[in-house]
Amino acid sequence: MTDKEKLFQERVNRFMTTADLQEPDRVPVLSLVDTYAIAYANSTVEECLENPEKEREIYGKIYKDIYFDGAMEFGFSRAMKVYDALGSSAYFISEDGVTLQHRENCPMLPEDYDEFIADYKKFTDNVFFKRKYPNLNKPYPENKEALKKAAYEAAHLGKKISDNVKYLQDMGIPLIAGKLSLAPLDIIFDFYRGFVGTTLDIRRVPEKIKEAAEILVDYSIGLATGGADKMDPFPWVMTPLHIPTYLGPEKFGKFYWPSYKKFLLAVHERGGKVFAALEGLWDNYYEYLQELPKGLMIATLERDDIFKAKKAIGNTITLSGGMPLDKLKLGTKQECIDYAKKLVDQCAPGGGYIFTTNLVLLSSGDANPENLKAVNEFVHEYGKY
Amino acid sequence: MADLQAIKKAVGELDEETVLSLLDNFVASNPTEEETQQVVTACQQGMAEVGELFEKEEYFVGDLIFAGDLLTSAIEKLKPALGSGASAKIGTMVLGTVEGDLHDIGKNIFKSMADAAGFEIYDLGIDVSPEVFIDKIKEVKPQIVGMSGVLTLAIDSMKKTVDAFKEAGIRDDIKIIIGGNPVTEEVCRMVGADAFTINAAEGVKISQGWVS
Repeated sequence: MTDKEKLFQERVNRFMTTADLQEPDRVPVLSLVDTYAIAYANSTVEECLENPEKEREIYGKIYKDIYFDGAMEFGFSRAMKVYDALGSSAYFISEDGVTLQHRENCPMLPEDYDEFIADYKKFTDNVFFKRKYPNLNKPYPENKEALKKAAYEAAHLGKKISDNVKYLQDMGIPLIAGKLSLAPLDIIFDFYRGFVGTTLDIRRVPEKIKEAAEILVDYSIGLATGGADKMDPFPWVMTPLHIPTYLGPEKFGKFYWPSYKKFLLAVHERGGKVFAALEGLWDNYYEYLQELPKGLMIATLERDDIFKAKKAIGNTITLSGGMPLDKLKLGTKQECIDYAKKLVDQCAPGGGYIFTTNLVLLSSGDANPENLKAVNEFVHEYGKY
Repeated sequence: MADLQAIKKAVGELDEETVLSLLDNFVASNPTEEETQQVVTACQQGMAEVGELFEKEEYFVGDLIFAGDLLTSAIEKLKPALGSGASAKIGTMVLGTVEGDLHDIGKNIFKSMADAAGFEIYDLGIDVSPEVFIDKIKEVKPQIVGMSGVLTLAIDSMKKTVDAFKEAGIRDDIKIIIGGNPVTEEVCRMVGADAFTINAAEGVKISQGWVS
């Protein structure tokens, strides 16, 4: 075993023990670094997209300079070239050359629900994709060519992603999320009906949207399991949770939780764990989360008060987060370290705590790298059990 | 004559069916402009109740989006009977999502609530450059400028915009409120704004405080 391999295994164990709500050797330090890595290396997304090897070097720079036990993602993960082939401009790069932005493109209409509910696969393939992706409406053989090119680019992306994981592993750093899935209602929210549409449907066609979410449960499970009936406890299945913060507890309980909970339990039954990004503020939903089996979920918190969350759900769920990005951006090094100390002191006892930022790092100004370096080193040293 | 209390209550409860049927009946009764204006006011008072309930955490962002949609269709129904009579405004506001950022859900929620609170609103849309803000401010002389953004990039954009206001000599004529996911007290200080919020209802309250 090489030193890097040993280091890798040590870190995997650190995350696994923590997620079992037991005390590991040290508090794990997680990276939520996304395109910030490109800015850190003084590069651009364009440079990354030119060449996968160059991309790995660019993304790897921050991991050479700053201490991390693991990463949520590594490399530029959006399927830019797949979208291009289909004629969609769902994503574009901001003027800084680094920050990715997303344009909502959700062309399902409220009157489509019956067709969706009758056979969502058929509706998606034959009706919905044509609306969403202009190049699929071109005459034959242009539409076929577009689809072929998209499939080719998707295969390339798949290979790039697995090469990226390997590259990071060779640096001794595990990727904590293996597969990505979505909660059923988030699929409707992100892809089919959009922000305003989904919100209005919940009020105007409540039964239909509920049924549509139920129908998507198996699809969500399939994304996580790939059809297997056994899963490893590590790496985890990632689910970024989008709409809940806008719903409130009553609608969350009625429209979101039932189908998502089925998904969670399906992963649990197979031996897997779920890394859930609780986007927005979740303190109204803790009693739902308390229904889950112990140690099934690792939740990374955005707006929640992590100290309160620790008391409320810390016995059931592993908590990740706590370090405010605006402090890392504007605060002094000492202020940042003092705050990191408070986090370790209050959240780490008993295990079930992962140190990381409250938000994903996207743009160059998101954190002062000196501060990020300082808190990560501090927690790694101080967070010894 | 319309039952103003019932309209206000139905809007406050987000009971779309009742609101629309009350308004249909009202419009069918051939109302005067003045009566119609009273109904508009009742809808706006209902919207203010929605804001109150949002602050009490009985309503959430999704409900605000629905409320905005409901209010828009209510006003559409009343328009033919409104004539051209403009109602009194409590103040003027220029709004926009700052340069480089295309997100507008939050801005649109704030806009529909501020509109219902009686502000005259000039919405410049998304990706608004400092120059476009400045031209509009010089033209309509608002008391308040609202800047919105979701990305952390927006913070630098907000700062750049406020600096441009100083440069143009108009900073001291206006109150500036910033809103959106990345704003905090520290960000507000750095940007040089007068107030910040991530809560549309609170933002409207702050704005009302500035013009009362």
